[in-house]
Amino acid sequence: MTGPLVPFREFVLKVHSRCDLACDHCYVYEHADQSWLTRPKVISDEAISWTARRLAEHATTHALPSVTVILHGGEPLLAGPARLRRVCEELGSALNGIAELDLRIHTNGVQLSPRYLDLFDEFHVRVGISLDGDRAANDRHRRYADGRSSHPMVLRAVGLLREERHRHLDLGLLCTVDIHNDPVAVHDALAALEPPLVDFLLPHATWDEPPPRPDGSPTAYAAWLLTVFDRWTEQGRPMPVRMFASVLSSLSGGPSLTESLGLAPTDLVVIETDGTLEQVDSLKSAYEGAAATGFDVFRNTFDEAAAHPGVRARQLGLAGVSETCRRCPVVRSCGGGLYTHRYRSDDTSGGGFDNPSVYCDDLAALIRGIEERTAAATGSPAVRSPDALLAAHQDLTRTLLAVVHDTLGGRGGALWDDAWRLAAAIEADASGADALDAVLAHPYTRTWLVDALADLDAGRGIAEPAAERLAATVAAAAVRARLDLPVPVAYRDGGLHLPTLGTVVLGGPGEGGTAVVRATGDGFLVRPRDAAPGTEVRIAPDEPEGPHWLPVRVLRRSPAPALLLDDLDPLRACFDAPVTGRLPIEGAETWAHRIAEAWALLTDAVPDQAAEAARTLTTLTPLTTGGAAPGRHGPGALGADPVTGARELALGLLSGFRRAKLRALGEVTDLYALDGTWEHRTPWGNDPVTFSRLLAETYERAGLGLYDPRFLTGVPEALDMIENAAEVTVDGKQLIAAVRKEISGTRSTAGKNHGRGLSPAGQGTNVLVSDRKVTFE
Amino acid sequence: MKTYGTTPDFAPAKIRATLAATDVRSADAVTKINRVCGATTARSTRISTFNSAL
Repeated sequence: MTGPLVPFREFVLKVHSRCDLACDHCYVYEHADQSWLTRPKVISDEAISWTARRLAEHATTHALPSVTVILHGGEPLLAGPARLRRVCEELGSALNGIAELDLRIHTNGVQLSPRYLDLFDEFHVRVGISLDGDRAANDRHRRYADGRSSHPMVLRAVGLLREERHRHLDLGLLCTVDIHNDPVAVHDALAALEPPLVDFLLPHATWDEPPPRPDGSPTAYAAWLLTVFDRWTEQGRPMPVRMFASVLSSLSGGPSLTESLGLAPTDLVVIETDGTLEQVDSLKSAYEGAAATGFDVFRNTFDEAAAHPGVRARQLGLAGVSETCRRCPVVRSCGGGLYTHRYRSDDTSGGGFDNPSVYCDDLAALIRGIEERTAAATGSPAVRSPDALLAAHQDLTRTLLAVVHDTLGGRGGALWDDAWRLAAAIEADASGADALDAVLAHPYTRTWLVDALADLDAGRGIAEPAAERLAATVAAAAVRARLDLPVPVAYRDGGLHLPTLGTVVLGGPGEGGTAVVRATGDGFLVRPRDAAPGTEVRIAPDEPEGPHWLPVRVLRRSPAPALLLDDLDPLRACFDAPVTGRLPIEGAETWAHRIAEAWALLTDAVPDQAAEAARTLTTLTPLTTGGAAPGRHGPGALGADPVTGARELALGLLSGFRRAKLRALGEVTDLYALDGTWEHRTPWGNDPVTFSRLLAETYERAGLGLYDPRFLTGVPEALDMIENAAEVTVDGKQLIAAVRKEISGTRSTAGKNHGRGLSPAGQGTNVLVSDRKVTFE
Repeated sequence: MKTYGTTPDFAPAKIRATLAATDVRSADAVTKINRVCGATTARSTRISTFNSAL
């Protein structure tokens, strides 16, 4: 087994090994492992001290900001208040100044009293309680040894936790599933207690000891859970449910939220009352000694336990599940199920965990069922609507700016602080707010913010030009909104660039300083701080290019939309190919002409694509070489080589727009997860590719196929591959559905574009920009 | 014929919260930033994943 050691972050500390209930489904006492018989009833002083010492050592070694310790049993309250106080004191003391201590306790609740809750309040120990639902459901298993119901005592405990003074300690309720119970009654009973969180546990089972299936259905547990899910949805999702939240998270590309689902590496370890270290607790259901590591807190570090093969086996992600699971499209959500549930003693390898879960059919049905029920509602609107995509990016840019400001923490300098204050003043005005958003929507704003945040995160501090950009952005907004607000802005090499507007020339190379930009009713004034009064530069609206002013030109030639020809922004050099310098006026005219010609071709051949591009493309930046391509910027920009012909430019624009859109989508939603975990083969290539490559090539080909149907060769097959891949998320599937709709009927109208629009015979016209090796001829 | 001007006009989205009021510490904000700045592999330290507890 290879790979770095995964430090433990979650520690299950057994403080008492006996229980005051006799639940017949308990994995500690009623399943294969009977090691509890040999454990001390209560954790010893020595075991507490060494646990605290090892925790501090582990947190220090791995610079953990926080560790979670769950006091568990048996029944942990049986340890008594004095022993629990000692545990809390020792752990808190050992970790003081090293890591935050997140203390929790999980109890059956029957002994919970104000005395315990006062102690938990003192040490901020949060409390989770086991409750299997309504009284009939709970009494099915959770009884005292003499058969009495525990239900009233548990409800009393839940009531105590719900009191105002204790509510901050309430973690919620844990419910073990029994499909004999009424799922709606179970849900409603739990929901009625208004818990902050609920989780449903599948009863521990293995292939040796399969779960009961009274009607023989292989998906009886999924059916039960989906009935709960439907009730939960119908009732307005009255509380979070960890199992459902985990499935919804992984379906959308996020992490799993419980060890029983998903491919996340395990980072928890169990410390028994005698100080021995064990793997995950539920392994006790598999066979005698299954959880043992041979280590203890007295002689061994937590790192030694973390390197134990049994622990490592649950940290391998996809490599840690069975071959059957590795090929299953839902494995990213189920993760092969809880490790314990995979065990069988008689498999071909002589016994082990290299199997699908005994709940495999249930897990698949549950995940598919939740996906079918929620896909339409949980999908990102950005995938469906170009306007929603732009809105999501606007929100992202603003969040990035706020994060950069927060990360700077006052270290951005006076110019930054002034600009931040002035931005607030501009936002207070409706037209100012719109103008600020317009400047923030400029694609190179994103380049600035992402680079600045990368520098800050790397500890390099913010570069001076980046610190100065906020002032230029705010000044541009004030000018656009015609707000009479003096904004100090830095200039370098004699140039003061106002994003989206142009560059004011205040001096020659090497000259720099600060100038004040102030909008007037008729243009704006720029006055260097050290300049004499009356020597300011005055720029009028539509001021032509001159010795003091280089405007960012706007291409306006029908049928192309109005597009910025940005050959000035200092941040525009974010493409693979070098950008040109300032184009001469004739060069801009050539651009306008070429773009209009190319756009006419696109409007004729792919009117829907052209219309969407017209709504979302804002900026073109001339490149010295290469076709049209997106770079490292926000949505709305493309770089392009102005010397290409109209036909090549049209196809390049279409290709570039397609790639830019996919990138823009991927920046505001998760179209896939765990890219690179699986290999795919495209219908048009021989080499294995990642999922992201498969998606990118397919999306681009589908777009180009609207222009020339020959690009569609293999696309339907690729779409099938994507839809059935494990990596694709709910939003990824939504995108694929949209692509299918786009290309539907294209083949039947394949002749439509022949004889007009682009000829595919031109050089490179049937070769993807992203893969020049692919040809059709 | 003049084919360009100097009054570019984007179509900005509506402001939802002021910059100063933007919650930069929320899980939602972290998710957004991670997509464009590289995701962290560290999970939230406040989530317990132990199956037999919350």
